[in-house]
Amino acid sequence: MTPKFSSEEIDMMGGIKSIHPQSPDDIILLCASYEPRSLATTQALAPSYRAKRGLIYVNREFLSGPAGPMVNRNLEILQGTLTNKCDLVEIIQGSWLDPKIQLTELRHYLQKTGDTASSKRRTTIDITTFNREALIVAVALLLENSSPGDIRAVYVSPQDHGAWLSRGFRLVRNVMGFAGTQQPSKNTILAVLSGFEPERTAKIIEEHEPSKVLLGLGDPPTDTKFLERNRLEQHLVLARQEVADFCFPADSINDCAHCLREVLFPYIGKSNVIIAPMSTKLSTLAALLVAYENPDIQLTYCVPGEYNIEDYSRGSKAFFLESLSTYETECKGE
Amino acid sequence: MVTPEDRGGSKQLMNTSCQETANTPSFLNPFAVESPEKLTPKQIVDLFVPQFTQLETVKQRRHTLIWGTRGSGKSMMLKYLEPRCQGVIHGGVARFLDLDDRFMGVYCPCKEGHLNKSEFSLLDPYAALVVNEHMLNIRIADRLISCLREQLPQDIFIPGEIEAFGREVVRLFDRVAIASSAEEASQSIDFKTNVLNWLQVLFAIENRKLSSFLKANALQGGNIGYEGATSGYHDFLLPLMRATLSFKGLKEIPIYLLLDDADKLNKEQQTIVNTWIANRDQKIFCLKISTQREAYKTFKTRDGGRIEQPHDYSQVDVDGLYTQSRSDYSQKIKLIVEKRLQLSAMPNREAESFLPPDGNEEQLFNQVKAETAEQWKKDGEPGRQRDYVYRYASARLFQLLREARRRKSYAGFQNLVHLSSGVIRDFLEPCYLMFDACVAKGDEPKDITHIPPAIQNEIIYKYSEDFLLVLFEDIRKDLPPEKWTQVEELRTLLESLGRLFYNRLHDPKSREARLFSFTVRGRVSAEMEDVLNMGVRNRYFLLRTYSTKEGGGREKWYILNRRLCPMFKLDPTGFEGRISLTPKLLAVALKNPDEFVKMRLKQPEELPQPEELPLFEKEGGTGDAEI
Repeated sequence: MTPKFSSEEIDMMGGIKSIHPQSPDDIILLCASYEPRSLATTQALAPSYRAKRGLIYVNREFLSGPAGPMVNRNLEILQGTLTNKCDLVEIIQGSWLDPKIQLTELRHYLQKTGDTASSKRRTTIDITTFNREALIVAVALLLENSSPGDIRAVYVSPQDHGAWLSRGFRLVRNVMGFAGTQQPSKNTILAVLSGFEPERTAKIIEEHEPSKVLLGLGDPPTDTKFLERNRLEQHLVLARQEVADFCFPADSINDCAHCLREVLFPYIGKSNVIIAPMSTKLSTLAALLVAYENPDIQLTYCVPGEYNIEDYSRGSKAFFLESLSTYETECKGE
Repeated sequence: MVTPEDRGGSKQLMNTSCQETANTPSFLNPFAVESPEKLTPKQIVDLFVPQFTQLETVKQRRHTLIWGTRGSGKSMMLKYLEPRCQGVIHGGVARFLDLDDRFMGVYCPCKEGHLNKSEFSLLDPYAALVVNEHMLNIRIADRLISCLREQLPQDIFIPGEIEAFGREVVRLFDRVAIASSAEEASQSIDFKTNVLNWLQVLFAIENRKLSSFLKANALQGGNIGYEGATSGYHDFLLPLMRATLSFKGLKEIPIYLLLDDADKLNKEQQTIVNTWIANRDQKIFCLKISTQREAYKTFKTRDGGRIEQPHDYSQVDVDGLYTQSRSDYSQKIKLIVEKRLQLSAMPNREAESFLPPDGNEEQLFNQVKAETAEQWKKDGEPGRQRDYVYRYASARLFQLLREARRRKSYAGFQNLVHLSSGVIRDFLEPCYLMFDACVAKGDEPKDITHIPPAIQNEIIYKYSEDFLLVLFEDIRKDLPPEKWTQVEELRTLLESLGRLFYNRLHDPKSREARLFSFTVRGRVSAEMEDVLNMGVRNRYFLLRTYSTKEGGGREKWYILNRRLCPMFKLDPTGFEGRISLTPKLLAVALKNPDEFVKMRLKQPEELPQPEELPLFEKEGGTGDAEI
């Protein structure tokens, strides 16, 4: 289970420190979004926290329009905070609509080149308010250049979510870098890590037309009250005959990855496996880890019509801090 | 709408571990719609109704594009053409291969995410074309080999032929480029003893190399070398088909590549397929491509040309039957229903009596018809009596029902056929729910002899309401917020038209009471055109064209989907003429139904032109003035 702390506990610990207490992190990667939670991690950083580079990801579409005032304000605050803690602060203008811009911008800032290419790189990433697709791409790019144990994810769970998180859908597409391999002679299995957006789940099932759906419910959730909502919201999807359900720990990257490996094991190599991560950001990274280890797995994403900018989430409840661990490192640990 | 809940019922979530728990299937409903990929060849043959499908056009030795909405039966038709299904029909695949009109259908589904991968957008246009074409080629090659292996009797191959074929296929690739994949394939399968299997492994390895390249190019960025082979049309696909034809036992059988759901291909892949079509190598193989019309993004070829019908391909519109011949459509539905009732071993296998109309309303309608026939005499016997009764009796029935405050019944096989407006799925889905409702009421499925009119009505009213309310929400969800105003305007337009047609139908003085369609005279703005197109795309309107009175071309004619009839209390059995709207009036209809109805009713009625009303087929039948 991921170490979980309340704000008070974080305060008592003296705040979030660098991964290696004696030296600064190489990168701290944050996301400036319309959610107040964007600021929670930087507010919890220890006074001694230092990083060589501070990177702030922002979806360019949110810099204007209804989200504009909130996003620009949060961006400014994050920039101000990081300026005091980093040697260099840069802004990555990605896109939640255009996957090419999303990838190429992130790659430009996260790729190691020249003399830094062979050095060990430690990164703290606040995964809380990234859109899932950008989060997967960002961490995959980090994994290309760092060992998993050197990537520390910080997630801040909310006190509560709004009545709706997103509405509508634009299209379904695979996450860049995770197209997987589909052999035409094999059937398709779709594993959905479900959250509070049953319509997006249904859309993904409709588009992929899998032979079988494995519907995952987040249990344990990051907060017990979220489990019941998850169950209620996915009720209609579950009523389909070709759906089997399973539970996954939504509150831990590595435990969830372990669970996914177990659930998907019978299908790997025998079926075309697709994962749709639609639950917590912690479980989204678990899906990434499993797909990263198994290049044949596809990660799919349903681009929503719009986000609930006004009321996506309320408050900050708990901090989850966890370094990534792949199957290989997990085995070594055992 | 058939919701998942309706299908399987709700289920308590009991699973609390990483172990999966399967759902259990419910009873057999004769109207259940299953994905063709989950059906056995026998089930496909049993369920497919070849009559009125233009199957003969599809079976011709020409490239063919098959247009149809989701659920219109395109996949079923293509699967039906596979050797294993043709074998069921003709008493064995070997016997089918002996027929004069034999062919080898190779089914190649294009599934979401299998070919249209996001990473292609990162490649330069030339590299994208090369990689896309190779990916398409190896997929088709895999399906072809699979068909040879699994669907044909293996004794048609002469010893040594398959090995020679395998060697020929490998020779089609660049020797150096394919070497490592060939070596890897040989590590898991012995080429000599299992040639076809070995080829499939080779293609799987190539497929994986393509995926690895796309991944590395995305995550590592630029300067990534592709380590697999490449293949094109003239150097691979066409020679592969020729090599297949060289099997003596196949007797130069035409190969039909059945490319299903080509709307799931990206634009470059569609361009490649168009280029194959433009080569017109139908003597060697034909492409049978099924797609949703609006999602086929281009007709361009790689060299900038365009494929054109009929020079390059034939086309079949699976949804068009209803507007072309409503009696044929009704016949087709009857065949489908009776086949399903028979396969489910239902005690009653006759469509009309399984879905009976409301007896009381039938009686009332017969009275009204007799009275209308009398009225024809009093009016000085204008025209034929039959036409007079057809034109006025049905409207009179609606007026009487309103006076008596009785709800119109839409029960009965013929009514349900009309309400489905040409979409078979829109007939089967409400029937599925009706059958389900009978079972929920306590009826034993195997003993159901008919669906009571009350249950039919209950479901069909709800089905109509869903079309106007629930499905609109679905459309909204499929669109970005900037398009939502158009969705609202479309909904308002339907409301405007529904209310206008209701007023006409229920007005005893109306001479053309059963209006159900409209045209727009004059240029409409791009925004209005978008709303109308959205209505067509989502099947709220069926689009036809008609010759203008002035001559010199054809104009668009929008016919309301009859599924809306119960919601607006309209007559689904026919319509006469059409109303003409000016762009100004259309603009009002998009915003304000009350104002629109008031303005339009002030205008004089338009009588149908004789050339527009050629068909008064039979009483209560198909009187649409469709051209």
